[in-house]
This record gives sequence, C-alpha cells and structure tokens, in this order.
Amino acid sequence: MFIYILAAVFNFVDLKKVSAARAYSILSLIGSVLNLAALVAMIIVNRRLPLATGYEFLLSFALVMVVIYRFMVIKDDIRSAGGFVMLIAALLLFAAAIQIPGNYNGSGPLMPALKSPWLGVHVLTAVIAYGGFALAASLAIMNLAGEMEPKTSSSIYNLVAGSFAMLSLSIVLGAVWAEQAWGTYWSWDPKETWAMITWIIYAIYLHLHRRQGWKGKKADILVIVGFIIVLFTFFGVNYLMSGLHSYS
Amino acid sequence: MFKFIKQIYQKCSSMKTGLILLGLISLVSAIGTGIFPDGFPRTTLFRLLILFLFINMFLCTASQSKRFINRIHKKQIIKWLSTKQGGTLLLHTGIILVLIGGGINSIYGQTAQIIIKEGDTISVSKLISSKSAFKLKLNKFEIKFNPDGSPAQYYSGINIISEIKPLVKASISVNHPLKYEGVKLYQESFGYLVVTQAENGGKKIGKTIKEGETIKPPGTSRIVRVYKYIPNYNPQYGMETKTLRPDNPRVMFSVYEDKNLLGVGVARLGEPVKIDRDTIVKFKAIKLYSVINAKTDPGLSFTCIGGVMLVVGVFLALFISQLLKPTNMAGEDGSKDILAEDNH
Ligand code: HEM
Repeated sequence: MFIYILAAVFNFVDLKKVSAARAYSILSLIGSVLNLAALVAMIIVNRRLPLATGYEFLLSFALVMVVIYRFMVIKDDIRSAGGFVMLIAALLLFAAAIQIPGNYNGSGPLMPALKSPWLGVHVLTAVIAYGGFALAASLAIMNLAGEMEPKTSSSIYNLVAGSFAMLSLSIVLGAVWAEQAWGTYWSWDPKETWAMITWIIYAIYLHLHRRQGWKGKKADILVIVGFIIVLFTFFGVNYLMSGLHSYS
Repeated sequence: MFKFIKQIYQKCSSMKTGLILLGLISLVSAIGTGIFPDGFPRTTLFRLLILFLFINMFLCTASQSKRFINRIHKKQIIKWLSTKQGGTLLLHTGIILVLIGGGINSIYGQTAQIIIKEGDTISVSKLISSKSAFKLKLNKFEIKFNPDGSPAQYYSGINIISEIKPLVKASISVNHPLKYEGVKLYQESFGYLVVTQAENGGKKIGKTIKEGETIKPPGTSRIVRVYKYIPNYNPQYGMETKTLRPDNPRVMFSVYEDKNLLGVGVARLGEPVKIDRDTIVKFKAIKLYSVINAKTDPGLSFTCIGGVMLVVGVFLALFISQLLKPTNMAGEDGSKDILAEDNH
C-alpha cells in the first residue's frame, strides 16, 4: 500500500519537474522520506535489515540511488538529471509493488542459510553498487541526449569507479558467505555468473576510459549497457533461470 | 627470431588482448547460462579462455610490478602502495591469485556426499583424502524451529573418531561448517527413515525404510510402500506437510497386490494398520538421516589472499583516490609513466 503511493509520488515528480522546479524538489524529498519510512518500518517489524527479499532489495536500491544523487547534486552540481533519476526510482518501486502479491513472503523469519552476518554486508554492498550504476546510467542517458553540462562525464566515471569497488566487495563477501553455507565460494549459478559479467563489463569500461576515444558517447553507451546487464542480473535471472539465489 | 618472440610476448601481455579475452569470457558465460547452465564452466573453450586470461594478466602484471619495484626502492613502500598505481597492482595480483586458487581447486579439490543415519558411523577418509584418517558418527540430527513452525536451523550432532587424536564432539549446522584434518564438513540436507514393523500371527519382521521403499509382510502376498512421512499433517494441505515441525506426524502409505494398487492410507505413528485378514503393519518411529558434504580445497589460501588483495586494491585504486579528487579525470593523474606501453 505504502509503496503504491510512493511510486505515484515519484512518477508525479517527474511530470511536475518540467513545469515547476520547486514542486520537483519538494516531491522528491517527500518521496525519499516515504521510501526511508517504509524501510524503517520493515526493519522494526522484521527486526532485521530489509535486504533478504527481492522486494526489500528494490526499495533499498531506489533509496540508495536517490541518496547518492542528492550528494552529487551538492558536490558536483548536476541538477538536470533529476527527472530521469526520479523516473528510474519510480520504475524500481513499481517493480517492487508488482512483486508484493506473489512474492512477498518477507515478513517471516529467514531460512537457515540466510542467517549469516555475511548476508547483510553482501546485499548492502550490492545495493549501493547497483544504486550507483543506476545513477551513472541515468546521467549517461542525459549526456547522450545532450542535456548535460560537460562535467558529467567525469561524474559518471567517478560513479562507476566507486560502484565497481562496491560490486567487487559484494562479490567477494558473497563468496565468503557461499563458502560457509554451501561449501563452494563460487558455484557458477546464473546469478553469480551474471554478476561476474556485470563486473567484467564495468572493468572493460574502466580500462577503456584511459583512452582518448572512449570518453564521450561510446563510453556513455557502455555505461548504459552495463546497467541493462545489472537489471538483467536482478530481474531476468530471477524469473528466467533457477539457481541457488532464487529466493530473491 | 628474438624479435618474433618479443612480439608474441607483447601481444600476450597487452591490455587490449586482456580486454578482448574479458569480453569473450562474458559473452561465453552469457550464452552458457542460457543454453547449458550447469556445464559451461567445464567446457574446453571456457577453460582455455580463463587460462589465456591468466597468462595475459600474469605477464602484464609482472611487467607492471617490475617497473613498480624499480621505482619504489627510493621511497617508502607504504606510501607507494596507497597510490592509484599501487592499488591497481594489488588488484590485478589479487585476481591472479584467485585464478591460481580456483585452478588448484578444480584440479586437486575433492568433494564427497555423506549420507548417514542417526547412530551410524562412516569412515570419511575412505571418501575423501584427509591429513589423517578419521570416522564420523552421527549422534543426532536435530531441527530447531521458529515459533511459526518454519525451520530455524539444522544440526548434526557428531563425534569425530580418530585413531591418533582424542575424540571430538561437535555440531555441524547450516552456515557453521566444521574443519578437521584438511576436510571441511557442511550440513547439506536431511531426510526421514520410517521404522516399520509387520506382524502376522506370531511372525514379526522389522525394517527401517526410506520414503518410496517397500516392506513385504509375512503371511500375505501384499506389499506395503511407505510413500511419504508427513511431519505436520493437515488434510487441507493434502500430501504436503503444513510445517516441518512434527506437530501431527503421519505416514502416508500404499498397499499393492501383484503390482495392482489396492489402496492408499495415512497412519499415525504406532497405529496398527490392517492390510490383510491377519496382517498388521505399524510405523513405529521416525529416524532422521543427515546429508553432509565433505570438501577439500588445497587452493583456498591463494583464493582468500587473492580476494583480500582484490578488495583492498580496488578500494585503493578506485574508491579512495576518487574520494580524494572527486572531479579529476582518472587516468590523467600521472599513471601514464608507469604504464606507457599499453596505448596500442
Ligand atoms: C577481471 C579482470 C580485470 C579487472 C577486474 C581489472 C580491473 C582494473 C581496474 C579497476 C583498473 C583501474 C582503472 C582505473 O584506474 O581507471 C585497472 C587498470 C588497469 N588494468 Fe585491469 N583489470 C582486469 C584485467 C586486466 C587485464 C587482463 C589487463 C592487461 C593485461 C589489465 C591491465 C590494466 C592496466 C594496464 C591498468 C591501468 C592501471 C592504471 O591506470 O593505473 N587489467 N584494471
């Protein structure tokens, strides 16, 4: 329920933004506060971090993206991507809302394999990484559309670099946990494989970025492709393939 | 001739080759997860690609380290390690170590599945190579439940019996493996055995059977199959158990004569079931068996060290340096002099 309202607010934000910048900032603030409130409510009800189901993950994902964006607005002064960032946040929340009826079994206790402190940090770092990649892709799209200040290119690079570090940490922590729970740090299940593909795509981006020809449009496209793969890793793998990660 | 070797060496150690390999590896993996999800990492193509990547990264990182080391003896190592180049070097060395560890594991690592019922003893060293021989006895398999009846944890209470070391009493549970003599033991799953007794007049036979197996009672041509143990029976859920907690245990069974199904029933534990004029079957008790996974991984120390180096390196190279210079274009902060050659 909460979330439907939230999604609507975020969507609304995007429409309003065109006409009134003030309405945009108020609404986006309300949106993130509601998003945060929903997460805090879940923490209190379930007495654990809201990171164990796909639904909880999406909510955190959206919040992280918006929060990083706020920081970037303050730091690098890139405002014009706001509408697009909000749109992606809204889509994520919408996806979360779709998940509620069928998939939301998150209010119960965790199954034994998920009861590990590694789970919390593994998923938390993944959320931060995905949030950063989402934001980088939003900026890249705006960049391609020609609506951005020239500074964005380096902001995108910084975002990808930071998120890549987080993703690396997340993968390694996930491996530590898998070693404890399943006895293999890497079992090539589809989720792991696609996380590795994501990781490699962004590694390629980071390497190519050092070359002259790879700082403009081509790099932006790579960042967007990377994010499409992130989305596939998250949604596609869950719905199309089965594996050890099928709980989320 | 020498020039030719040098050319090959340069091709093999160039970043371009590395990136092409990385691209190919992700392409093969992407196709692989769709077409044969279990098999692709074991295909020759995939292994070759990983091997080439290893060689490429090894050569590339080795030449980077050489230059790195040539420069650092003038200054302190810590200061250099904390630069972007130091982090990058650490990161790549970490990946190489992970690849080495994974390679050793795929060649020398072993796994074995131990299926053991309560009270039994199994020699682990016959299944997998350990530093010294030992046996494992399962005292009790136990499930702890949440208030709602869902499982909270699975425990195998075990004794480890070694000829040279004192007896160890331990417990293996999910997320809490046990390490002994180079072997790691993991709780994998469990199952039920039904202690069954059949009686006809004075004749009695007993058998402990798995789900799906049969017992042939004396004095009748009929056969009883234990179809399923249902720990918490509720007619609304049909054959499915409501929870794993044994609140209302039942055994579902079927009776056959000459391969024809005569009927299906559900019985309480210990309840006498008349399956023929004078033949009675009782499902007396449930015994649990535990499935424990045993594993050795001689490459694990490489993988662990590599993983730590990777994470520390990636943070030094990408996170910390980005935080310190948030709006600076990366790759333009003096890293060129160390890596001048990779502008192919
Ligand atoms: C899975 C494989 C790899 C990963 C995750 C990876 C990751 C990275 C990262 C994160 C950087 C820092 C980028 C930057 O500062 O902008 C980097 C730099 C670099 N990598 Fe890789 N890399 C991989 C494979 C390779 C391979 C195969 C080569 C070549 C043989 C290579 C050569 C380099 C070089 C020369 C640099 C430049 C260092 C610098 O800018 O200071 N890497 N790598």
